[in-house]
Amino acid sequence: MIQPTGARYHIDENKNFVSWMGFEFFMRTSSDAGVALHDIRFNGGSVIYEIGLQEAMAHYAGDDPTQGGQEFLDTSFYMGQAMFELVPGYDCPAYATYLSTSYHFGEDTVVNKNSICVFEHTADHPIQRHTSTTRVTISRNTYLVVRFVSTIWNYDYTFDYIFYLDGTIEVKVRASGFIFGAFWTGNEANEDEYGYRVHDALATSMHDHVLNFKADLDVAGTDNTMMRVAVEPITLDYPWDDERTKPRNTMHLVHRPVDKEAGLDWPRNSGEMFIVMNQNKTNEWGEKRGYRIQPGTGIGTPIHLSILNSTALGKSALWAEHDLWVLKRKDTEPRSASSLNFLDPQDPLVDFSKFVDDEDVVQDDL
Amino acid sequence: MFTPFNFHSRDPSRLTSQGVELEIKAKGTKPKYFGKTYNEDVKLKEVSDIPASKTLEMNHVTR
Repeated sequence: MIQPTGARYHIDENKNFVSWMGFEFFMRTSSDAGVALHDIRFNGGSVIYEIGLQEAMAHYAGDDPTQGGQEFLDTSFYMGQAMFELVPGYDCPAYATYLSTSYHFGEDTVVNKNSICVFEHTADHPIQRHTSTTRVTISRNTYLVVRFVSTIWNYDYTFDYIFYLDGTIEVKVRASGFIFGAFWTGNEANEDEYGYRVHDALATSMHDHVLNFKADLDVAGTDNTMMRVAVEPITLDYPWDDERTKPRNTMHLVHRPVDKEAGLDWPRNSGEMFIVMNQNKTNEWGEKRGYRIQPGTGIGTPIHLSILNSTALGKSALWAEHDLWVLKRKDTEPRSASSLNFLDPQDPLVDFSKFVDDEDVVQDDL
Repeated sequence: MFTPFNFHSRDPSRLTSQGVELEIKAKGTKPKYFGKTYNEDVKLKEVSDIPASKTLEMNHVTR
């Protein structure tokens, strides 16, 4: 990749502000949860007021007391402080802009140099193409990335906020580093139910990674509704069908608004779309303006926690029970977790179950 | 991932994506560029901050 005329994004380092191709947003860092973005606008219209990591869980299972009782809530280990230097040409392109972050610790200011990178990159596939009878048109899929890496003990999590030219915003997380292994004896009856032997006395140890992000969407304003748009099979008699094709087995869309605060799961067969829309704002064609929330690229279906009513977790991370939560935004509920929840799972500082209290969420600030 | 859903009236990427339109002809096709393109050659500038003594040296193995 080359940039003969330099970067096409603008960064104001004093205001932590970035603009690129119609997108504008502010960045902020916290010592427990790394980089969050604020007031994301696209072509002047508000889209997301706040998006950032709330908690990163790793929940293990095993037939020994260590692995069997082990879970981590990584913001307790200060994922922002653990944003270390990025390697140019490897973590990010050499031409990226590298920014430093700082925090206060032990009566001193600690600087993590080059811990955030911002860069443009062109995908290995186009964003649009069409061949007609007389001509072909094709456009590049060039996107913007804001990236940082948090390394907590053995795991390195790379976080990307990605912006695409069609207005799509993606959050991507990749895990690397090395796994937390289990002691392998060869004598225990059920050892093969939790992992695989990889060395003399070492086995892999099964675990779920479940990460919670808060997205305060303000789609064309703050009055929003979560609409579940289902794609459902149906059998209907259409007036224009003839006897041989009646009744017709086909499909249609069914719109169901989410009325009360609730947890949702990604549907089977992508059978439902989750759209946050403003029912009072329409585009030029009279359709309600919205933004869809869906799993990101290359990931398949992201998971929620496999364990039901986890003994180890107690009440410290109840957000992990579902894939997506629809909640009213409140100043008294700024974050779904506290970095101290890890220390008192039965009586956590922030109990997420208290956020879900049956409040109306139709045309409200979600 | 958050994707626009009737948020705009038409696909906004048409305004900012960089692309080309080609007539399907055997010869003499002139491309039409939308977005920007580089019409002049790109010359690379060599920059090296590493002192010559510290660069990797090839090891010649004699058999």
